[in-house]
Amino acid sequence: MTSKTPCAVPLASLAPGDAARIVTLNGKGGFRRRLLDLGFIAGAPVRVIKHAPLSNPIEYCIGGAHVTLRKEEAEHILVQQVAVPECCREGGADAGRRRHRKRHGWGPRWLQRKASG
Amino acid sequence: MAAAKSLRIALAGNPNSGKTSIFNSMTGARQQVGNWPGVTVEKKLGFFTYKGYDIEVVDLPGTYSLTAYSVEERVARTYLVEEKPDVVIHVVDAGNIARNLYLTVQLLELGVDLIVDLNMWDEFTACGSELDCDRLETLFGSPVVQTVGHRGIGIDDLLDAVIKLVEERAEQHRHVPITYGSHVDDVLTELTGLLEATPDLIGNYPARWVAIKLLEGDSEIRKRLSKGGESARSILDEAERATRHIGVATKSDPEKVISEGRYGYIEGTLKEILTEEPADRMELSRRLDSVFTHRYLGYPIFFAFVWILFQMTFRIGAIPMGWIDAFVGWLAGTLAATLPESQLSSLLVDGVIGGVGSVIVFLPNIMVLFLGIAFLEDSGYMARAAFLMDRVMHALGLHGKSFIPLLMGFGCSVPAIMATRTLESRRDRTLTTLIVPLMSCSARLPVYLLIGGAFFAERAGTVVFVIYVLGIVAAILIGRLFASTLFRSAPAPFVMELPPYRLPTAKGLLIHTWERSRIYLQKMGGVILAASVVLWFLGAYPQNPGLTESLEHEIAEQRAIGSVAALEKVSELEADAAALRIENSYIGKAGQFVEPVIEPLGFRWEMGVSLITGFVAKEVVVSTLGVLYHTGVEEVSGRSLVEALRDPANGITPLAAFAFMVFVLLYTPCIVTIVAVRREAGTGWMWFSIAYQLALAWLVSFGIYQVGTLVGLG
Repeated sequence: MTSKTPCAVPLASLAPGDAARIVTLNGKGGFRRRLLDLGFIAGAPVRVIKHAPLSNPIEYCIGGAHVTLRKEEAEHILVQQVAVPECCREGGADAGRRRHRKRHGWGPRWLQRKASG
Repeated sequence: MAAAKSLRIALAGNPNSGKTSIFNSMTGARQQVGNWPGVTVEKKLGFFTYKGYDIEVVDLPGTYSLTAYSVEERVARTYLVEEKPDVVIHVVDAGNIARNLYLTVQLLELGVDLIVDLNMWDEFTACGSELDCDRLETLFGSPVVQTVGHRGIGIDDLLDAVIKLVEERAEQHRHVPITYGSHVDDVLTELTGLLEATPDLIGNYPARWVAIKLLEGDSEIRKRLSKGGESARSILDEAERATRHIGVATKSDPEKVISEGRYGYIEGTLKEILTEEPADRMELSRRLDSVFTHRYLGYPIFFAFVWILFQMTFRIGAIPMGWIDAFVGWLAGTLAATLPESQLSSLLVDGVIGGVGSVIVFLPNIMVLFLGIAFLEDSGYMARAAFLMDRVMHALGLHGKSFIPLLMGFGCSVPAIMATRTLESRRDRTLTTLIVPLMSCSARLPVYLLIGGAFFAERAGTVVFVIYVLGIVAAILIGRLFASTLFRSAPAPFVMELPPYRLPTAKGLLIHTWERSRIYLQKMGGVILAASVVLWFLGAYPQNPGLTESLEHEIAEQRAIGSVAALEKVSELEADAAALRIENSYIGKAGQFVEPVIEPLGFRWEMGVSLITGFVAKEVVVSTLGVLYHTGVEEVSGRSLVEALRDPANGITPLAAFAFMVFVLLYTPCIVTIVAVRREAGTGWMWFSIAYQLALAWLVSFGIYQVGTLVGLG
């Protein structure tokens, strides 16, 4: 049984590309049960895929399925962030591309690879 | 050969597990669609014969679990226990096996005779995954079959397994009880013992399952037990005590511990038999989503799809619509010409053909619209649309999925209301159903064009645009009002699965489209027929031949003269006679009766009559006005309806005309919509919907007319 640890944060506070493990689930009734049924149980790994264009709702990957939650709903899920190795980070095409552009500038990857190599 | 033996199978499974494609492969188009008793959850039945068995198959609603929290889950579990189907097939999406087996475990606990159908097996093996199916079979004590539902692969294997299971039923299955850790297991054993001692309390439900549900705090099972006597109360107390005990011992609560136990059991099982983790099958979907739900491209693409959908509906639908329209016109004309003029022919031509024709004419549009929607749904895009729109719709107290029905409302309220079924919660569904009619449907356009053209000339376009905007504003305000008063409960959480994108199959799309079109025809056609006959009666009776006697006399005289001027006079006199007849019919009387009510809105009694007949359909408003203003819709005797309306002698001011358009916008669109509301929300909400729309229409029109008059616009 995992108890609350000091570094448990709401799932809503993570950014696209972040990964975490679920610590506990608050909320009540049918909403909480639906989350449990979908696999939001203590210890389960969860990944943030992307935010909707107006920043809400948010798409998560849980147990092999992609599930959407509103920000205020994701506040009820407490998680412990897990470090994702930089090379495996994904998280929305946007996040990856932004990091890539920071390093390599604009333009498609294959073109830059050719230019630099 | 012995007589055919009958068999009942039920299909259970998660949403998006391909359950419907299995169902379609089994039954083809031989399906019967209705509602589960007492709820608006779709019930699909199919019938077919296989190897000497008459098989009835029920497609249960797609669920993730079997709790008492959602109607779908209650319907599914009640059916499984009360109706005891011979075999239950659990359609499992093999690509997401862990989450799907979570329901399998619960079905096993429910004690049904189960077949596990690993569907979309092709996708699963394409990822390079392997699963020891024999081992799964032993562990779950249930046959395991692989299928590819949308291509019809493995369906025969599945049915063979069903028959084998039925014929060898004597062999007891090994139902594996799942262990939930010592804290829960001890309590479960104790409760199960108590429940088994009182068999009439639990009926068909397995004792251990009831014990689990008691610990989970299942409201339905608790209610069932609380109706029992002394022994039931002691069991409930015991469960209460045990719940507290587990809470303290595990620093959690039973519902969580049990869910975790199920997932733990599945994880353990899969570790043993799943030789390779499935590769990320969402890879392709993620790439597509990087365009479809892109920060900047998402909305333009979405609106482009919607635009294409509407263009298709109205452009492609218009072609067969023209044919049907011509055919109905030809039929009415031929009948009117061949039948002797009598009450019967009038009933047949004006009542039956006119009424039913007005529904059938829209069938092509509706079919194209449904086909487009089926494509968006089956491909997985609809969930993305909801994802994009939820932020906006949530601000109105609605759900992301409400957007599509509301948008479709601009085309026709009927399919729009039928589309609210995609909404999961009853609250969202009812609320959306109530405000859909405020979106100005295409049938109201003829009224706007007539009135706008008559009173606002070149500014008509702007006025019609204002009317449309007014409808949207009214929908927003009424939505917010109802959300904060009648529907105080929080809107359903946006817990929605984004399924992988899939190419829909033609068969699936066609069955989907046909199913809904058939409902439209059956339900709506029947009602429209009845309503048209009633309306025809109200317009044609009471018969009073003396009323138009002198006019008819004159008509005959003029006909005898036969000159051009005389024939013109004839059509004028005929229009007068028609007007006189309707004026003295029941409908005319009703119009005069409601005059005091509509007078403060600036309406004349003729407008009142047209509003009453407009309940049937909004196009009827125009034709009624035509009859009442002695012109017909077409030009008669050199005077068009537009001119007649504009005639100062009739006393309609532009302000009153605008108020009239607003009234037409806001009150009940048509009788078919009323039927659709009743179907989706129930009789109570149907009356509420009629009442609130009438009240709203009256109040807003009243406000516009009175304030307008005060500030001198009248």
